Amino acid sequence: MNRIKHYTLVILILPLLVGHIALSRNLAALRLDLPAEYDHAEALMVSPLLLEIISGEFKGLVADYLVIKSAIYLGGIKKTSGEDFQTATLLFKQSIQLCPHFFTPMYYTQGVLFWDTGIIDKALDIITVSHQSRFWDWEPGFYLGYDYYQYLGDTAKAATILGETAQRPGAPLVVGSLAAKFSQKNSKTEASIQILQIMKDRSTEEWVKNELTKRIDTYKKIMVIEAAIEFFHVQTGSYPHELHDLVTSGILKALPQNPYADIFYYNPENGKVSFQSL
Amino acid sequence: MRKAFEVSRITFHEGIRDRALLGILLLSFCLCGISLFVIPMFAFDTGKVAIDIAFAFISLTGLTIIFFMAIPLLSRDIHHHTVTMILARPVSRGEYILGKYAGLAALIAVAFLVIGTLAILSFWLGVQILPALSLPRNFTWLTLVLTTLLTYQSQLIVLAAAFLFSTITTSSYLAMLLALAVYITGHTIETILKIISAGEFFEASKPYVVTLDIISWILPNLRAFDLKTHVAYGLHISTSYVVMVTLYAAVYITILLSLTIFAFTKKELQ
Repeated sequence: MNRIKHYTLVILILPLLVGHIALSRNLAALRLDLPAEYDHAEALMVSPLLLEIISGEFKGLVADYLVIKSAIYLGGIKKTSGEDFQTATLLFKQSIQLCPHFFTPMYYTQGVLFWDTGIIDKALDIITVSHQSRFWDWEPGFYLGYDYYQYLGDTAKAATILGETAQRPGAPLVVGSLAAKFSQKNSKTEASIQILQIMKDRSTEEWVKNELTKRIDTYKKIMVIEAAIEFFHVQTGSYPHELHDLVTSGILKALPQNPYADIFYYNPENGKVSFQSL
Repeated sequence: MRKAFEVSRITFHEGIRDRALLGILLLSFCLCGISLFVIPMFAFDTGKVAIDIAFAFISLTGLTIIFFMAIPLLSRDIHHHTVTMILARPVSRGEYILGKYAGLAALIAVAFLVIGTLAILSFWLGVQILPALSLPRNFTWLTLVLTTLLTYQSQLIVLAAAFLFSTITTSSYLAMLLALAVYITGHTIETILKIISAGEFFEASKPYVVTLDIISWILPNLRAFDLKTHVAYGLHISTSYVVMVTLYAAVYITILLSLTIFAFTKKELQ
């Protein structure tokens, strides 16, 4: 009697299992046709402080999760949109609020978020928190000093931050020398290349290395154009009206290509060149 | 006291028989798997992530024992009157409460030990197979042990609160809800007060702030026991802080257990 019961059970379960497998496959195929839910980065639009309250004793774990969630949309196969950058900024801000000592959100903010010019202030907030919390670490201060110089043009602030950072344990000698160099107007691009090179050497992920290589190459091209503009200025006493004048005057054979736009941006009033809109 | 010890021994064995440790062991293996899967996702702070995951599991295990074992166990004994069988023997009500509390505290301690050992093993395994995995900055075993000890103390406070609520309420669900409220409030009240006092987001009225302040004095400040950041980043923990927090826990637990014994002594058991 028992054996009959067992067989009946097996006979009943087997078709159910086959049905389950068939349905799972069909369901997966159907879901592929649905519009993608996770094409863009998403964040819970709550204040980082509120998130700190909600997370309770698991705030460290929540901070880890937010970083992973954000990193997925940065450096992936899909092109990161401006909206993704905004969302990633919020996620990193939430993460650093939960755990101010966390290095990773600060590192991604510096390495990736500064590509989007619309979020410089927010990105600076994140790096400032990291600089203040990680009192043993020279890196956040190094990046912060660079950002003040590069993005806000605040030489005095950059020099102060770098000078303070140079005192931290393990800080390379270059930090102190950069503090001095930043006060020299014409060495800005060269200093940028030096800093980006250090960031590239420190990075472990291939996609971050690739992005930094691209940026270093861009600055090298800017350095070539700047040198040509300077030469033009010395010869003619004025800046060229447009960058193409450098080619027509024979100083450059061809204008370097801007990897981030069609052309390099140029201000004929002061001779400044940038890969971003001036 | 010998009788209280006997009750605690029985409670501990009851917990073991309840296959609680088997569940904890299963949870520990999950922790190892999750750690080895999640940590490689991080290029930096791998030690911090390992600490976060391990302590999350440790806390969850303790809370599971409190909410799904301690409260139902005590509620069943009190509300189904099975406690009368024990009290019919020469065991006072106070000894019963103390014994039960010690037995469950011992069970949580064993759970912490099991999960902690497996967390360390999984970390050691991770260091062997994952080149990116590194020890947290200034890592010391002493800091790790102190952090685990303080986490344990915070769970003992929640356990004592669960005992009080199980005694004074007539339903285990109500006791569970109240203990959960103490746990959540204990971990958040300090941050809430800090935000409100700063007045950055909204201006709270004076009576509101005073009420919150009073609540923060009555409820335990469980946030004070959370030193995970310290162990993850090798931050200094002063001896005086640890002594102060331990004293705070001892006094708070004594108050809660005294109230529980008082309420249980007054309770009419048929």
